[in-house]
Amino acid sequence: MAAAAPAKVKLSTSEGEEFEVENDVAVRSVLIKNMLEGKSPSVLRHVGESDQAIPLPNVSANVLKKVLEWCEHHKKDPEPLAEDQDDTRRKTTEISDWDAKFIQVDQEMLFEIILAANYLDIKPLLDVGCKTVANMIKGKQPEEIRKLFNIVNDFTPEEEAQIKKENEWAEDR
Amino acid sequence: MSGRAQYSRQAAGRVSYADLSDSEGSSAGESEEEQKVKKRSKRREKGRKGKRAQRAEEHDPSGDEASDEADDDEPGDDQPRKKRTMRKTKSKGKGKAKQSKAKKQAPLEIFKRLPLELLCEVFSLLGPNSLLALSKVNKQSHDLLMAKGSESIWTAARRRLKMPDVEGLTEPQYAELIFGKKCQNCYGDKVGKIYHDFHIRRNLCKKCRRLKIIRIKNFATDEPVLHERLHPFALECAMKTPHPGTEAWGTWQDRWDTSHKNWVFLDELWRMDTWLRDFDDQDEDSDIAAERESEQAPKPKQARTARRSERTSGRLAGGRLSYKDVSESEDEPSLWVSRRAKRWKEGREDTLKARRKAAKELWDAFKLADSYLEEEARLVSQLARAKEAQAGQQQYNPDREHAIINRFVKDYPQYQDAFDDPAWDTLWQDRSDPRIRSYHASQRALNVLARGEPLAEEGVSDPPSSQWPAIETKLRTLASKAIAQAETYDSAKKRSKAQLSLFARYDALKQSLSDGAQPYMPLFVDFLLLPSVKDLWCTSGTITDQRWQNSLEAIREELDEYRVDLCLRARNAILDATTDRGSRGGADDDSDTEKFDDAFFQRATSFVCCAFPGCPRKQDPPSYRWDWLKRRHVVDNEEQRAAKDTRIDWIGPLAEVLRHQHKHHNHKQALTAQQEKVPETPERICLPLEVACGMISILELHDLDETRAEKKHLMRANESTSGYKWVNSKQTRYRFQSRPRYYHSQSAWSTLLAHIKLEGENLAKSGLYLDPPNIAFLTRADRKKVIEMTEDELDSEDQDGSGAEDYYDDDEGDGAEQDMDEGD
Repeated sequence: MAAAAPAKVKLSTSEGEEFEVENDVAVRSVLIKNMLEGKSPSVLRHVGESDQAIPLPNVSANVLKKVLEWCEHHKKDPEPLAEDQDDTRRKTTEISDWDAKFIQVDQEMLFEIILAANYLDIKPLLDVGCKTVANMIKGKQPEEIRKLFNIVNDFTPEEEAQIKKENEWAEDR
Repeated sequence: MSGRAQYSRQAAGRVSYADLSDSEGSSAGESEEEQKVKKRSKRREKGRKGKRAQRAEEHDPSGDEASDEADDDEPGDDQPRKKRTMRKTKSKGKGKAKQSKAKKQAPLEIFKRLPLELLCEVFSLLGPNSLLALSKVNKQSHDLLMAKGSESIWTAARRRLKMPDVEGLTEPQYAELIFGKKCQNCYGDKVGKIYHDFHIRRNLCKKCRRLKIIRIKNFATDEPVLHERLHPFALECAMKTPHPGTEAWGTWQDRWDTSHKNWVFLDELWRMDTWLRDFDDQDEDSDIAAERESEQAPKPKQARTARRSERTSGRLAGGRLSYKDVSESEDEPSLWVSRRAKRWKEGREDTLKARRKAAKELWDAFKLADSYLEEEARLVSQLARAKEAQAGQQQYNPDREHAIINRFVKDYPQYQDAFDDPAWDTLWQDRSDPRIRSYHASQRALNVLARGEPLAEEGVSDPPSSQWPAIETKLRTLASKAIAQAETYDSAKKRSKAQLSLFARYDALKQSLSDGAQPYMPLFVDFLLLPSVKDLWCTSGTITDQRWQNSLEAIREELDEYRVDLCLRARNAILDATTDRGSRGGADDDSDTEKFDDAFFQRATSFVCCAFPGCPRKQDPPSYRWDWLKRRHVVDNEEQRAAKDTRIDWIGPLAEVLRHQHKHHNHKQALTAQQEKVPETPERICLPLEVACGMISILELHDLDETRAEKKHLMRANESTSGYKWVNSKQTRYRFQSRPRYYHSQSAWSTLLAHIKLEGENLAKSGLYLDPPNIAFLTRADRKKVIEMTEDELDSEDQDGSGAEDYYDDDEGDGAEQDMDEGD
C-alpha cells in the first residue's frame, strides 16, 4: 500500500480501457470520492483498496481523457462551501480562461462531457458545461437555435400560427 | 338594356368585396365567346389570387392548393396567414433536408440527449428572452417551457433581472411583452421598430398602431356608424393609452399634449363592447325570467344582438370592416343600458387604475431588460471574438493552397477553369457576372482549407494526408457549382442579346400599323413572350431577316389574338369591379355583346387603370433657372419632366391607357430570368375596386348619368368645381391625425383617383383593404352646380365613336387584321 506516495486509482471506461490516475485528481469526482471513502454501497467498498479498476460504464475513453485533463488542472482548487457554491455559480455565467479554452470542443464532445460530469458528479465541470451551452443559446432567435443544434422544426403550420399568438395578453372578466 | 341601370346607386357605390367571384356558370345558354370569357376570367382570377385574398376566398377551392387552408372566415387575417403557411412549408422542407444531413453527421439534439434536470440547469442560467426563443424552437421545448410547472423557471429568470412582479400576466406573456420582437397584430417579418405599449399590453408595429390605436376625439367623425353602434359605456371602460406609447416616443408636441387619455386600442374597445352587451343580455334574460319586462327592453334587444354578430364577425376578426358592413347603417343608437353593466362599470375604474400602475412597473422592467440585453450582447460578442481568435491561430498557408489546387486539378482537369484567376480586366466591366462571386467564394473556401501544414505533395513517398478526401469533395462541389453558374450566365446573356436585337423589328412592325391599332400592340416585354417570337430568341443563332419573315405571319396572328384577349381581359376587369354577382348573372345573356364595344370603354364607369405598380408616380420637382430675356425664373427641366411624367392618362378609356403605357412603360429591355419563366403575359390593365368606387362617387357628386358620362364630362365637371376632398382617407393620416385630403387642381379627379389606387395597393401588400372612399366637394356652393349633358352632344359623340376604328367587336376584327396587313 502506498500511503506517502500519491495513491493511484484505476478507472475503466465503457470500452474497457483502463486509466490510472492520482488519487487527488480522481477525487474531484464526488462519485469516485465516495467510493474510495467507503460511502458507496457495500458491493463497491473493496474497490478502492484492491487493485481492481473502478468501472465507469457510462463514460467513453476519449471523454474520460478530457474529463481527467480538467481534473488534473483543477486538482488544487479549494473545496467551495456548500451554500455559497450555489449562490456564486448562479449569479455569474463567466468561465475562467482555461476552462473556456478547455471547453472549446465540438458539440458532440460538449454534451458527452456534460453527461460524464453529471454521472461522475463533478459540480464545477458540470457548471462549465451548462454555462457554455447557455452562452451558446444566449441572444439567439429560435431559427438560429435550431440551426445551432440541428433541431428540426416539428411544428405544423397551424401550431406555428397558434404559438405566435399564444403569448398575447387577453384580459379576463 | 345597358347593364348599369339595373343596379341601385347605393349598391354600385359600395360594392361589397365579398361578392366578386364569377357566377357566370349560372347563365343557361353560353355562347362560344361566353366560354372564352369565362376561361380567361378564371385564369385572371388565379393570377390575382395573391393580391386579393378575399377574392381568393370566394374562389372555388378545388383548383387551388392554398385555399383549403384558408378555411377561416376572418377576412383580414386571411392574407398574412396564407403567407405564413407558405413560408412554413418552405422552412419545413429545409428542416427535412437538415434532418437528413444531421442524420448523416450526428443527430445533435440537446433536448433529447440531456436529462431533464440538466436542461433545467441550463435554463436557470438563461434570461427570459432566451427562454422565450427556446419555447418556440420545437414541440418538446415548447411543451416543457409552457407547462404550468415551468412557471418557476421563468419567474426565477425574471427575478434575476430584478424585474418586478406584475399581476394578471403569465410569465411567458410578460416575457413576450418585454422582449418580443414581433408585432402582435400582423406578425409580419419585416416591420421595423416595435412599440411596446404597456397600457394595452401589446407590442405593435408602426403600421398596426396607426390602424388599431385611434383618437377618441376623432372616432365619432371617422367611423360614425361604428361609433353609434358602440355600447355607451365601452369607451369609458376601455383602457386608454398615452399617445407616445412609451415614454421615449414622440416629439415635444406629444409631451406637451395633455390628451393623454384620448387614445384607445380598437381591439380592447370591441372587447369592452362585447362584454357590456353580454351584461345587458343577461340582465334582460333575468328580467324576462322574473316576468317584469320593462317597457323599453325587448325592442333594443333584438336589434342589438343581430348587429353584434355582424360586427364581431367583421370588425373584431379582421380589424377592418368589409364594405358590406358599413352599408347597413339602418338603425338608431341604443341608449338603454342594463343595471349589471352600470355596476360593472363602477368596478372597472379600479381595474384600470391597477393597470395604469402596472404599466409603470412594466416600463421599469423594460428599462432593466434593455440594459440586460446590452450586457448579454456584449458577452456574446466577446465569446465570438475569443472563438475567432482561437481559430485564427492556424495561419493561412499559401504553400498548402498551391498544393491543394495542383493536386486537385491533376485529378480533375475538367475543373481547371474554376480555379483560374478570372481575367479581371474583362470581368470588372460586368459586375453581375457570377464568376466573380464564385471566384470569391472559392477563394474564401480555399482560405479555410489552406490553413495548417502543407499537404504531402504528389510524388513524395508520404501517404496522402487523411484530410484529403474531405478537401476533395468540398472542392469538387465548389468547382462544379462555379462552372454551372458561369454556363447559365453565358446562355442567359446570349438570350437577352437576341431579345434586344428584336426591338428594332418590333418598332418597325408597330409603326407599320394604323394609328388606331398601335396601342393594341403589346409592350416589348410582352411581345417577347408571344410564342412565335419566343421561338425566335430561344433558339440559338442570330435572327436573320429570313427567319423574321418566315415567322411574321404567325406573329401577326398572335398579335391579333393578343388584341382580342386584351379587350376581353379589360372588359372582365371592369365587370368585376363595377357589377354585383347577383345582378350580373341575369344580365349576362343579352347585354354582353352590347357592352363590348367602343362606347362601353368610353364610359367613365368603365375606365381602366394602368396596372404597373406605382403608376402614376409623382412628377419630378421642377428646377428653376433665371431667364435673362424674360426676366423671370423658368422651369429648367420641363421637357424631362414631361417625358417622365406618368400621371397623364393613367386612367381613362382603354385605348388611351394603352397609349400611355406605350409612352411611359415601353422600354428596350430584355426579359429577366423570372419573366422568361412566366408562360402568360402579366396583367397590364386593371380596375381596382376602390378606384371604381371613387369614380362612381365622383359621378354621383356631380349628378352625372353613369351610363353615359364620359371623360370630357368629368373634365368639365372638375373645372366647374373648386375641388374635392377625400373625407375618410385616414390610412394616409400622418401621425394619427385624421384629416381629409384636398384636391383642387385642373385634373383633381385623376389625382384623387391616383391616390386612391396607390393607397389601395399599399394596403393590399399587408392584406388590408381600403375603405370605400368617401368623396365630397370642397365647398358647399359646388353642390348646386349641375353638369348638363345635352342630347346633341351625346349624339355627336356617338358619331365620333362609330367613325373611329372599332376593335372591340369580333365582327370587326377582320377589318383590323386587314389594316395591319396593309400597313406592312
